[in-house]
Amino acid sequence: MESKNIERLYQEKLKDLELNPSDAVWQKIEQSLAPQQSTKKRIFPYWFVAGLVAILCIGFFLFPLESKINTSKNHIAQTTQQQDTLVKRVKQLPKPSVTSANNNPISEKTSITQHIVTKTTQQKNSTHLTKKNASPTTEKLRIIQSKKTTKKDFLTTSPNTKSTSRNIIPKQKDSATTDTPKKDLVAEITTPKEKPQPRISKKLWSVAPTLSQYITGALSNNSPLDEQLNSAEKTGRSSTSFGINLAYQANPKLKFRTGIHQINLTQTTLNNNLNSFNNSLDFIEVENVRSNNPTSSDEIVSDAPDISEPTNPSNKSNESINSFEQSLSYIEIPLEINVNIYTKNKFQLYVLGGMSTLFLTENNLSFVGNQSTTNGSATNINNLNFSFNLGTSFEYHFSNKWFLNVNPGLKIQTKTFRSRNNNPYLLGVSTGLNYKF
Amino acid sequence: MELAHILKECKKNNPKAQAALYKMFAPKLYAVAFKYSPNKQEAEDNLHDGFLTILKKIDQFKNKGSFEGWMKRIVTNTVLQKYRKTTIFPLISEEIQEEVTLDIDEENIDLNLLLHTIQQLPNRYRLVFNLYVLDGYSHKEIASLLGISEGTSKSNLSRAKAILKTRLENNEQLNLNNF
Repeated sequence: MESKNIERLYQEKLKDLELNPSDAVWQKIEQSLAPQQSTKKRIFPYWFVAGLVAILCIGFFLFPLESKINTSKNHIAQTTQQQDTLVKRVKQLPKPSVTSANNNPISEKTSITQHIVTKTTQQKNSTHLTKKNASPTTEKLRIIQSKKTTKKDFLTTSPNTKSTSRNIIPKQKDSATTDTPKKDLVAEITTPKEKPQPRISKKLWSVAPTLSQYITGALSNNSPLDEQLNSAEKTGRSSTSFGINLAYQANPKLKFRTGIHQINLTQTTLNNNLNSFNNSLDFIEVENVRSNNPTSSDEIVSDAPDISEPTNPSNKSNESINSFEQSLSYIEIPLEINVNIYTKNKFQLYVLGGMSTLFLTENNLSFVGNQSTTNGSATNINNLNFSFNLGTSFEYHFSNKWFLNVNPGLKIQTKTFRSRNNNPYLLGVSTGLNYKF
Repeated sequence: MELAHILKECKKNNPKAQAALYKMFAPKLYAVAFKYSPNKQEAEDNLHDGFLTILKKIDQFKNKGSFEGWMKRIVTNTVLQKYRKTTIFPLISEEIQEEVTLDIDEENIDLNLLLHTIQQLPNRYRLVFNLYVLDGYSHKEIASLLGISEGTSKSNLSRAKAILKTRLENNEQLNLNNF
């Protein structure tokens, strides 16, 4: 027995003490951890499935007329006459063709006669375009060489009056009315997505304004405008896109991303097919094109006096078309899965795949001549389109709350055109500064 | 699995890594919980709470200093939070004895006895004794941790040692009587 400092006694005896707890402790810890993990797993599918269903449903509700539009074609033809004595009717029927007549064969100049019969008239099941040649004395008369009389959409370019331009085509009305709710509903879809959902645990969500630079191309050289332009030289123009991304980190390996972007495709088709086209802005007749110039319904609604304003066809009649510039704008809502394949320090590399729902917002087609440009729109563009997306995403996490991502990718569109002869793609890179919450 | 890898995976909430981390450190952490707690059951509860806190805050460990020390501090804090506010004993004004010695045969001192005597201390005494004697905190630090004055810390320590001495001596006496 010896005298011992009590502090030293405890220090020595309890130094490097290790005790084994009962197994029940770990079981309890596991149970406490399980609800958090299962909650995380559960949150994702509800959110993902609900989002997907909402987008699809709204898409289908927005474009119920798609099938009807698909089956009907607008056929518009134009001829020229000396003065503007215009008789115009619209007809939308499965296999119409268009008849145009030159009512004033004696005149030297030309004017346009358009027979466009709308569905509302319901007078005929089909019309035929017959071209009555102008009088042999007509010097500048031009006639559409319409070899294809069925299932064609014809461009109508008519130098119309201002009064007629104020009128609205029934079909344009349709598209106008569908456009408005479309934007609202798109906003409705995206608004809740952009709301940060409160998360108690770690920062699983991230939101980022994004900036993208794309070049446009197509998988084949087929022209969506007209088969005759299939061999024409086409070039895609680069475009800049803006948007907002929202991502959810389901687990360390998997991230789901959505957002809303505005994207634009622009393709220029050089009109080097001189034999196939008349090369005139006035006489251009391309399969899937409708002019923006007051036409169609104007011609239904308005009577002859409204469209009697003299025009100056000579301005355009001799001008040849150098190129067609087709510009399509979409609101894009992507749904993408990102798989982490590499992580080192603050750097992460993901591969991503997914699809985007695309809502058409602008459909513009310009005929660029030597001196002037005429605007129109393509008639074979689907309002609802989809694309398959592939890419990689490089992320640099420079703080707990912020990271920068650079995302090169390819987006192949699937339903841009009704005639599925071509699939445009966007190849580009987007970047964004992401905030985690 | 290496500790660095386990740590990295734990930060990603990898369940396997969490289990590996527990397996690796549970004995050391349980020892901390055990000596700071009044009994085995509460020691296990405190280990449970402390380890969950470790997993929750593992992102905050910046690889500076010992990870083991960081975890032990979390378990200690878990216990302190639980017991520091309980003042179940009356204030006793007495002389503070800096050195408490006892005549004892160390061979007869069982580890379990030492732990048991610590656990039997009133909460405040137990915390102060553990912090000062076993974990090397100063009275100033203890005062700050427990929200008491340094004088109270010293007094509590002195009282704790006196109680331990009495109990160990009683136990010694008991052993001698058994012979």
